[in-house]
Amino acid sequence: MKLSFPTYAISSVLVLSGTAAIASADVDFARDIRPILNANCTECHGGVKAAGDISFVYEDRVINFEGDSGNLVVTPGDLKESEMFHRITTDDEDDRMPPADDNDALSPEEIALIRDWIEGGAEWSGHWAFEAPASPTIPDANYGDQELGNVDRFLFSRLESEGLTPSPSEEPGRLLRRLSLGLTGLPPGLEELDAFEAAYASNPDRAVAAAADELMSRPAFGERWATMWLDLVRYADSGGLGQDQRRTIWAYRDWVVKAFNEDLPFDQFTIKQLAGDLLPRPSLDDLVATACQRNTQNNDEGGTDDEVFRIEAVVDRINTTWQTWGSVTFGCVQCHDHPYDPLRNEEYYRFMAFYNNSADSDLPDDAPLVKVPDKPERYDEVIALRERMLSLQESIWRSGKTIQDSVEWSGLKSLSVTSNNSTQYDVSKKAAYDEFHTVGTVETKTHTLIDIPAESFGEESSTALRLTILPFDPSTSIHSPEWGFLIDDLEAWIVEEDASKRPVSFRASVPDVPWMPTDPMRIIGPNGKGWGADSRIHHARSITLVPEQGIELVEGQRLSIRIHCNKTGQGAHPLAIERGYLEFSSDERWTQWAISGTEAFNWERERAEASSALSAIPGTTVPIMHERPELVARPTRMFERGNMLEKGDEVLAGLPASFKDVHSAQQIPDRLDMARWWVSGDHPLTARVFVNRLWEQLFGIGIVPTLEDFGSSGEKPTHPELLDYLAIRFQDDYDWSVKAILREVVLSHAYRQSSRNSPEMSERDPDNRLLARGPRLRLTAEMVRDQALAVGGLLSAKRGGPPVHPPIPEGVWRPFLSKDKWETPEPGDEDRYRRSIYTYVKRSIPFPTFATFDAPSREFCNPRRLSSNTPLQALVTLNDAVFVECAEALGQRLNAEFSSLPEESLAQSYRMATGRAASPAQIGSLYQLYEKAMAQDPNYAWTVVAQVILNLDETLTF
Amino acid sequence: MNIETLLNETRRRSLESETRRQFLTRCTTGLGALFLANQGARAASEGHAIGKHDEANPFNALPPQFRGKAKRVIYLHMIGAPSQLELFDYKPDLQKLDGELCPQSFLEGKDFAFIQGTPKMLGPQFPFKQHGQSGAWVSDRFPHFAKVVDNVSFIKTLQTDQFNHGPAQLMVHSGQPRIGYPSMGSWVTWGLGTENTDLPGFVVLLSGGRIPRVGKALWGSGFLPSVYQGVQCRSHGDPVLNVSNPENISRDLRRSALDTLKDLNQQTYESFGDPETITRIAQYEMAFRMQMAVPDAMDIEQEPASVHELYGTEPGKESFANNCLLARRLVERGTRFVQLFDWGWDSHGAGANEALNAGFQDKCREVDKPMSVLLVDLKQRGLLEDTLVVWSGEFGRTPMRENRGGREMKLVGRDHNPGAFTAWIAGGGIKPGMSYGETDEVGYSPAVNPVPLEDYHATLLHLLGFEHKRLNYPFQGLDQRLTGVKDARVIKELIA
Repeated sequence: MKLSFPTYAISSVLVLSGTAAIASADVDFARDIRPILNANCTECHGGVKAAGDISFVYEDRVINFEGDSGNLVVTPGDLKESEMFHRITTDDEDDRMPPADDNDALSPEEIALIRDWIEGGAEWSGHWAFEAPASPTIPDANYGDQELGNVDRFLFSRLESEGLTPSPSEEPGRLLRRLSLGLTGLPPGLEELDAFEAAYASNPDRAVAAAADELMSRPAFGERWATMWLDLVRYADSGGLGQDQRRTIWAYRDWVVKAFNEDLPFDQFTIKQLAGDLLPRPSLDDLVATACQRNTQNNDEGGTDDEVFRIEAVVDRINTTWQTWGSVTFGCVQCHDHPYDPLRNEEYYRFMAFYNNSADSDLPDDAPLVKVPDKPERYDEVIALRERMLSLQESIWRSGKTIQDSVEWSGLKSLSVTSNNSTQYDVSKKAAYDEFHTVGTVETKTHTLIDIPAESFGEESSTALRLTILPFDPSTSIHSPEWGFLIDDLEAWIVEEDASKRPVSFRASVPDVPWMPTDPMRIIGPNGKGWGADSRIHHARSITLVPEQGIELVEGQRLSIRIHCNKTGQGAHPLAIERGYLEFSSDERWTQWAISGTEAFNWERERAEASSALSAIPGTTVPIMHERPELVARPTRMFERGNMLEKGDEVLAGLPASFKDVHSAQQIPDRLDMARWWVSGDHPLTARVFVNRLWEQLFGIGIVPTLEDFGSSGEKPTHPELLDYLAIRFQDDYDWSVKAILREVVLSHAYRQSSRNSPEMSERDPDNRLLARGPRLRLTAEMVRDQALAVGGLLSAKRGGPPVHPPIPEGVWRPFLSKDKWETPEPGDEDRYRRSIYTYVKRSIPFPTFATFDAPSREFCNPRRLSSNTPLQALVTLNDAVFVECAEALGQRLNAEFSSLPEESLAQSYRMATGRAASPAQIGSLYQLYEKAMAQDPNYAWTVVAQVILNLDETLTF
Repeated sequence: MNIETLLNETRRRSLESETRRQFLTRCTTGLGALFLANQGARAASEGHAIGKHDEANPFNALPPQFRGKAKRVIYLHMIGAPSQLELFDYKPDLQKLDGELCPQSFLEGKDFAFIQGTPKMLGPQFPFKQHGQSGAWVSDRFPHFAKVVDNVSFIKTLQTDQFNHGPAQLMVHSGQPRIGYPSMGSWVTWGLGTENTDLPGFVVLLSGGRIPRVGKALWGSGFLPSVYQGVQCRSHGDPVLNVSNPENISRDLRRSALDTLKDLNQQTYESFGDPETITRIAQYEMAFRMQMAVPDAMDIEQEPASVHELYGTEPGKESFANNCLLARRLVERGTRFVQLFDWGWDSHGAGANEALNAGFQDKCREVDKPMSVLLVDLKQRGLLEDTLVVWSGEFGRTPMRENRGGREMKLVGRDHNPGAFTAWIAGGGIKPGMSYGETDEVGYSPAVNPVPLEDYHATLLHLLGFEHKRLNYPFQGLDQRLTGVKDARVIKELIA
């Protein structure tokens, strides 16, 4: 085959974002003009800076738009009335654009393109990725007498136009290995190779299809593809930052594996992870899926500000969602309009509003959580108990709330308020009540002591007390919340003039919102779990306390209340009461409420039963998404220049104007509407982005090579029609079935081609973007280890469950918190040999082997792994204890399991590791080494040979 | 096939491979090409101004953007944030205010990690004197350092915007408060490669004790290729992970195994023509050399007794002193960036091990001598003129005494102060004997010439020959750089 091409053809292939050298009559805005604008103009006339009010990101700020100069920037069809053209062509250095001081003028070719564009009507078009994919015409293409599928037609017609031809089929053994590693992350065994090669000999297409189907039905399939997904959603088993504590969230990891294995359609996969909690009657799986958004980092370092890190988490959710589902660098818009893409600063905060009201708030316990039973058959039971608890809780609360809202409340006056420590309170008299507030330094473990004289209650007996707690400064805290308060106990006494006293006990309470995940009747007091705003207070909060009997005071007596606030926020900030007041009610209805025999009383008993039944079910927990109730909802405000400390205007939830609007039954869309919007079927990005990820996993380079950026600063697709074809196929024809789209791709001839390369090809297309040859990729970090375990015969088939701790080099495990132990199972224990996906992921101490082989440490969404090739990798696969153990195991297999003829053993193991038969010369080399090693140490000779086999270039690539 | 045939065949192949080897040495596409291809298309249009790494070696030494005086860096980070007010930033007025309630103006709009309400002012806890020809103020906690102080220049007004350790440490090393951005050492080795590829180009040494709380993120490569992350070298166990052969494998036998591997991989290259295979062959050879070079560099027992006495080193121990000596040995051998982390400098007064009137003094004793000897040693060997030695914490400490939980504490300590802290720099093109920036009369905020971290980073990069804006890498739609998106100023006053 002759491989010589005119140079211009090469440059058009390799510089895919370049512009044509010669302007042609049909100028395409997206292809020809936008790159010139982005490279030369948008720095000053773009999203960040719009000098003269002109922005080349938006059509309406260019076409027929009058800039500050008073001239029209571009008048379609009229060069003279287009200030832009004047500016790029003028000789006047002061007027020329781009400005002469540090820029070159546009090239004659660029000017010609702009001229032709304006003269031709200055048609503007959106960036390709923001326009919905259109069903492309499927081109004709031939390859021998093979019948070609659509994927091949797109690829091969392009090859044809480049004067290239596809490569012949890969050797069957290597092909099976590619399919097996590609689809399941594990290599085929010898029997599988034998069977496949036999089937392939009689009917290659059928053999490949059967193998693909069989591989995709294995549990290993889900483990392999979940790894890709976990990089995106930054899954880790620790919280990151300050303490990097263990986080129990592995049930989510298992959910992802299961979702891939069950081929959960990608639209549902999306909706459940973004908003499963908001689905009508969510299943337990729906709730577990929302842990996707709870993989954000916590900061539990002493003295940190929970609100700062809550917002960091919200920001991370926004950026991760856009990066994962849209491959758009939406993070840019946090501080200013997007420099190149039509996304505006305000739109960032409108999107933030979808996420800003979830209940989590950077607490060390990761609340809110949901119970996940060990046995999947108990999922329904758990969800039923949970629903029952919530509904009983709601009923109890509502019955109390109904009374609370209909009775009359009188404010309490003449309070005297002190504390148990150096915290000082002052009392100010309001018209309706006395309000107390702190003065100066607030100490930790403050108990607020309130004394109320009998006169304050008047003649009547008080049947309920209502305590209202306010932020210290209510005017600012609504948007910049203060440290909150947490009442862990409350006591009261009736005190006589002679200071003798008798306790008042409370029977029940009614908090302002029903969602406290605790006993609503006994929230505070020795048996309660505490009540308050932990750890931040935005709004006034209140709770009604119902005494056993009405409190009746006579002159000289007083009511004394002690409110215990012993907790601190992040080990430093007192969660104390800083401002508040008290009211009382004398309504008779309180005395009848929730006493023995009433509905509310029975509900509470049933709730308690459901609660203990739930705790009795063995299982784990997982952090979930959960919306705060309306009454305590957080409003969302813009941050000035991205700075959370400077709040701007309030915004409502919504989606960027450049996209089709969200469908919502409500006036203001919620998180569920947002989730559905991504997979609505007319979203321009979602399907393209996801099929591009699958493609990259299989071919090593995406159709859009910049997986992380589909915006106008990313690379363009090498095969735009193929990308659209796959996207439409995926979302419409296959109803978002991941297995179906993968099947179509791996059955293509393109994927089945030989990966043999030549120096000419390697120069012509080093990254294999055109696919004139099959892919040849380095194994991923997880595959490197899993394959070694598999070939050594050690790999455990155990699936799921808590993370495991395989051998780790001595001295690496030195966590900041020493209680976080790495206990390695002994040789022989299968937890030592589990698939890599089950290894404990600690953000501050990445597992060394994985880090060395380019696995990310999962702090943020990681859209693409770059593959490296370094001496440290060689040291891992040669010397790391895991690999040495695998080599020993393989050595023993060589010695024992296989034939007594060494050369046959060598041939077998070579085939196990690489999928193909070794040549005599290769066997000869290995045999020579075997003899040399035998001479030195017969016990170790096979291990030495096995090490070479595990380190072959062919073993480490597929 | 019998063994004899096999062996004959092998001999024939090995003769053939001789000629093949010559071909292979001329073939230069591989790993470097892969990285550059991934960055390439974008880099070309963005005007990145770092050289191209050798295509088979991402670490080959590259010239900087312009001639920088400094060729390499030793960065001494005192994790926990040492009190500038007890070491370098002498504030006699603060002494007068000792025990007074802190003025409200100091507290308004400020966030503290632990201080509650209105704390009391705390005067300097140790006497200060001026030293050397430069007349630099140094407290009596650093007697050795006081003798070499003319070699260094101080920045007294460093500022950060983070007041918790994790984010603040990340700010110092990566310019961002979040995990996931390249550290300074990664930027520098990416930009300059290293002078000895048998050793890691970016080495991290920890004094023992607690590791920094964000761990490896302080020497991570973020979005830069992972090869540029720091490699931790250790005094215990393998000096670099997996650098020793397994117990039963001698260096000889390993050599034979690698020869076989090389031979087989060359055949693979012949069959598949993937340039990456050639890179892999080269990496295995480099690993083999590294197995010798790293233990050799890390073996401080080779040093004479006199050197040990000077540094206060004890072979086999994990200590700051050992790491200072190792840093010298590494830069001597061409390592580009040596990052030391000491620990235990978080002087809140909550526990005796870090309180100013207790453990802080031990920490001073531990670092004073070795860091001072390091400067002298580098100077005597002619290395100081092109090695930048930098010393800092991650923020400063308050002129107020900490009152954790709103109470007076038993021991004496200070809370975190992001407003002002001190760093010193020596060697590599700086003007020695300078003190840049002045804090207010109590050392709380800069009064003259504040130095935000981006200016500090820009200055360090400048000394290494980089224009900070042009050392950038596209990620998430931005040309990312160590100095972030804000403007940064090189502190010319500090440069010789």
